[in-house]
Amino acid sequence: MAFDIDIQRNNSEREALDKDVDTITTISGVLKSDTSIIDPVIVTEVDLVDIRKANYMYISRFARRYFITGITSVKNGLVEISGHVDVLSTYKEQIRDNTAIIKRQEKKAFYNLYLNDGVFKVYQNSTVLARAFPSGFTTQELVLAVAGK
Amino acid sequence: MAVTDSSIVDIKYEAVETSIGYMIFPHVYVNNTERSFTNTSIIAKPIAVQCATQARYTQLEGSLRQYHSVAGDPPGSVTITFPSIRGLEIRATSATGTYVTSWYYNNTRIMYDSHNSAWDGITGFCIITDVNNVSTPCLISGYLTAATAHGEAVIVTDYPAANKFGTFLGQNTGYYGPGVSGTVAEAVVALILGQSIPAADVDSEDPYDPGGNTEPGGGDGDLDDSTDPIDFPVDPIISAVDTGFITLFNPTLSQLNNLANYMWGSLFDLENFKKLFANPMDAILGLSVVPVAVPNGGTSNVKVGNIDTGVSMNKAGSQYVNVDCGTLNIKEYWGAYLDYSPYTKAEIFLPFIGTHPLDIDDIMKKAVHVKYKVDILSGACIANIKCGDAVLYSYAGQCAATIPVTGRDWTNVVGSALSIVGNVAGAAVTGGMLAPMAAANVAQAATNMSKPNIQKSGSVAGMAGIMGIQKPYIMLTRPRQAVPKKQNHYTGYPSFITTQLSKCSGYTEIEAVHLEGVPGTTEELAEIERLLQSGVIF
Repeated sequence: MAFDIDIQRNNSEREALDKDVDTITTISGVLKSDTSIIDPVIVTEVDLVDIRKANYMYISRFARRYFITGITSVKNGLVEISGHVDVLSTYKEQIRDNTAIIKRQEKKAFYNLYLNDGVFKVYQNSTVLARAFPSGFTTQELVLAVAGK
Repeated sequence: MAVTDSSIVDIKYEAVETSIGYMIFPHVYVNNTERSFTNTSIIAKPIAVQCATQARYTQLEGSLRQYHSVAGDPPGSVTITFPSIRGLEIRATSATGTYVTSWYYNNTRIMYDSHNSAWDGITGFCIITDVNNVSTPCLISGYLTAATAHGEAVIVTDYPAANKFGTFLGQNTGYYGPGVSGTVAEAVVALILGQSIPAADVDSEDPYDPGGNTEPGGGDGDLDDSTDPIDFPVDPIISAVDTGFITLFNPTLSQLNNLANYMWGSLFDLENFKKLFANPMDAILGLSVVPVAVPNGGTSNVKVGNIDTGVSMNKAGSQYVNVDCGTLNIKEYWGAYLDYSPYTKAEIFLPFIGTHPLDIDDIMKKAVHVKYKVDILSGACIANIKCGDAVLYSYAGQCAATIPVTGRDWTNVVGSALSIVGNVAGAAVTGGMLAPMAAANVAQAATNMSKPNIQKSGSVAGMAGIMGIQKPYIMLTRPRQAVPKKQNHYTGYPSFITTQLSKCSGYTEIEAVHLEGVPGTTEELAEIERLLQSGVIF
């Protein structure tokens, strides 16, 4: 049974939960046999020119968003669009509802610079400085030790 | 371990002498590997066997011989054959109620003339009875001696029926088994019923067998991280000047000159010089330069050998003088892990002592207070370093420069100076390449940990110290961090906080999460977890 596919272009990082996508077109296609909804292959009739800039798609029937991993021309006008589920964007609300122990964070509210960081680099030339105490030995005097009183 | 027909089974018995007799231990080998075993028909238990005396041994041997020669082999239908024991096969036959044991050696029945020849050739024995077909008590008793056993003894099984033994040629025997004592004979009769090793086997090769001693624990510390204040020490309560044997003066140069003039002048009356000294200069114990202001204890004429020289000098009011060098606040540079060990290092130079390392963790964000305590008599000094509320470091030195007044003094002063030079020359460089720290897993990180450790000073005691730096100071060595633009956006900074992910923004890596409420497949959930751990952007 055919279903609608929103062919889109993703402008955000792959790792982002919130994607900035532009819809290019909406097409109708079918799921190729022996493919899963995780890694679907959509067979559709479309002009390659219309979807050449597409790298993302949304299939409401599967309630999932996908990275387009390949666009293959089967024959004139018949195209196979391969995809892999974008789990971050598809389940972003549920992911945000979870609690976790954070390992690294961009914002100051959650990082602690006193924790050892294995990512840092240093230059080979260290800085050496001196800090003097306010006082010291300021005089010399003689001491004569004599036997008896 | 199952024993099959092709298994090689060997049984050895070990007799260990105790205060009450011999303890007998079986050792069962299957294919040359020792195994322990439990079996209803073979129960290997250590049994105390009291050694018979030679007389009893003789009695046993005599009894056996007698029995054998008198009774012969009775007719019977039970034959029990045992695995060979070092080549000795013991064969027993039984009758309806009367039992006899024949002794075989290499399948040849042995007739004993004397116990020496009989027993020397036998490395072990067991006495077998058939307990299932007894109408009259069997007449068995046995004796075991160390000489006869040759280190081997007899195993006793759990004999199922008591009182299976009657008298043996007139000797009361009784039953001797685990926990049962007899009346006459002191030996234990051995029974081995059956020949097979069961499949159930306990592997005794685990060195920690039986184990099972793990248990939960921990987490009940008192969480008390308070510290006791450790203040600077007070002066010693005993001063040399209080003894009356020593007087310390704090002369001026002109006063010293006056004294010298008197000592070397004609006014010095040797006749009245106290006969305690062979040489007037012996009364002068020492003259030194100290780097402190000597407390004033009034004035007094100097007496040398009880002779009043008439030279007035200030007396030292105290043998001990304190020098407060003040406080230094060591502050963080980054407010980060780089401010601490092993990335930042600290050393302190102490006048009259030298340079010593400090643990940066001890002084960072603390007030570091240095106080000296000086003994003007010996010249010894001690520098106490207080970090925060506690004195954590103490170093001793020598701050007095001796001025020689005798030839012996001169020799000592020059010798001390030469030894100081030697220490300086040999102590310029110590240590070597330090092992790189494992804290950073990037090859170029923490490179200052791999730098050589250079000693910055040697001994600065005595006159060398007086010629040296008179004020303590701390040296800090910090790394220069290389930070690319917007590093926090690309890699984030370390965190170890538990929070709801909706509160995160920007680059985030997860240490651990148990995903709940995500309606994805197993594969999708695994991918979500993997991505969260590798870094996502909220």
